[in-house]
Amino acid sequence: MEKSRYFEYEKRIKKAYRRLKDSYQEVKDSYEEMVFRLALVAEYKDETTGTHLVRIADYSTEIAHSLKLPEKDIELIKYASPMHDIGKLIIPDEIMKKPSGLTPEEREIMKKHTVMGADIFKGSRSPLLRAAKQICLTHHERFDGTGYPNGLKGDEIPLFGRIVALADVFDALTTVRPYKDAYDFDEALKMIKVDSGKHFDPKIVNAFIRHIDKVHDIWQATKDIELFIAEKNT
Amino acid sequence: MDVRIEQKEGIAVCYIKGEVNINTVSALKESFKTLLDGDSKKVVLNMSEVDYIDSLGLATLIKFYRDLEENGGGLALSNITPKIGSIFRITKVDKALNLFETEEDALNNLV
Repeated sequence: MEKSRYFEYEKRIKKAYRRLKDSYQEVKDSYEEMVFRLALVAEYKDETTGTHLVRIADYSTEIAHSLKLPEKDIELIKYASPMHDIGKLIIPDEIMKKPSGLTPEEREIMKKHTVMGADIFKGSRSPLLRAAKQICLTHHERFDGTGYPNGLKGDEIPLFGRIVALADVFDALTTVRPYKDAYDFDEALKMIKVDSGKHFDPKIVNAFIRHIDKVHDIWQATKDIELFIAEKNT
Repeated sequence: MDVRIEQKEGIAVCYIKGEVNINTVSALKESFKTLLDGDSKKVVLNMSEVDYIDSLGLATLIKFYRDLEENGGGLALSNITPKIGSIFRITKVDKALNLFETEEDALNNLV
């Protein structure tokens, strides 16, 4: 083959590869963008703050790093974890926005957000949406088998579900909700430790504690963001 | 994550590339410190090649915004990708920082 023709082919192949890479990146970016847009809809309904979603992603990602999970799993949990409560979209407003305690019947309906969320992602071939399905379904399971919707126990609960369970509870403890004040960082950590082996997988609790400095940085950062937003709105 | 700084019309334009997260944010803080120590207190952050931003990244942008304002300068962000835009939106940071579609618009805002 002539040298010039060889270089021409090489140039074309490189160009085609670049195009393919760009297209892949575009698809990936669109998927990841959709995650936050979808999750935002559920947040509107729940009336909690959007920083909750970012914190869930950050805490879950940090635990995944501490567990030394493969990079592709860390990426999956980062983008799938914000969708954990997407099933709340299907829960009636009169239950979601009820100011005081729920009746036993209403509580049962509320618990269905796990199954409903999983249903939204049912049948997907996308690894990201499959991870989201798993997280929706299992983030309220408890290590000792007393959680819902299926009362799974220990390792029966998928790893992503066990990680997001801790991230979600820690975040709920450390933020103000309509029905409660926020616990401070150390108090919340103490409560997580007490629940190790009961609500949470001890392996996940240990991973969380191993990276506690980074967890504290995330907690502090989102407090700074919320303070800034509040100042800007006054 | 890479940070590249160019001077345009007396304004520092900072090009950020890659993920701004808990493990990379120290490099960004370092660049911001250099800018704060420099002459120009007006900065444009071109975000077109930012892949992701976490809470540490957002808090770092906010702190930089505050520091520049306190020093009589200003911060404008441009070329926000839809993905980063959606993160800004859910955290309401989009309402609190100065965002512009193009780098030129951001520069004009600071002139």
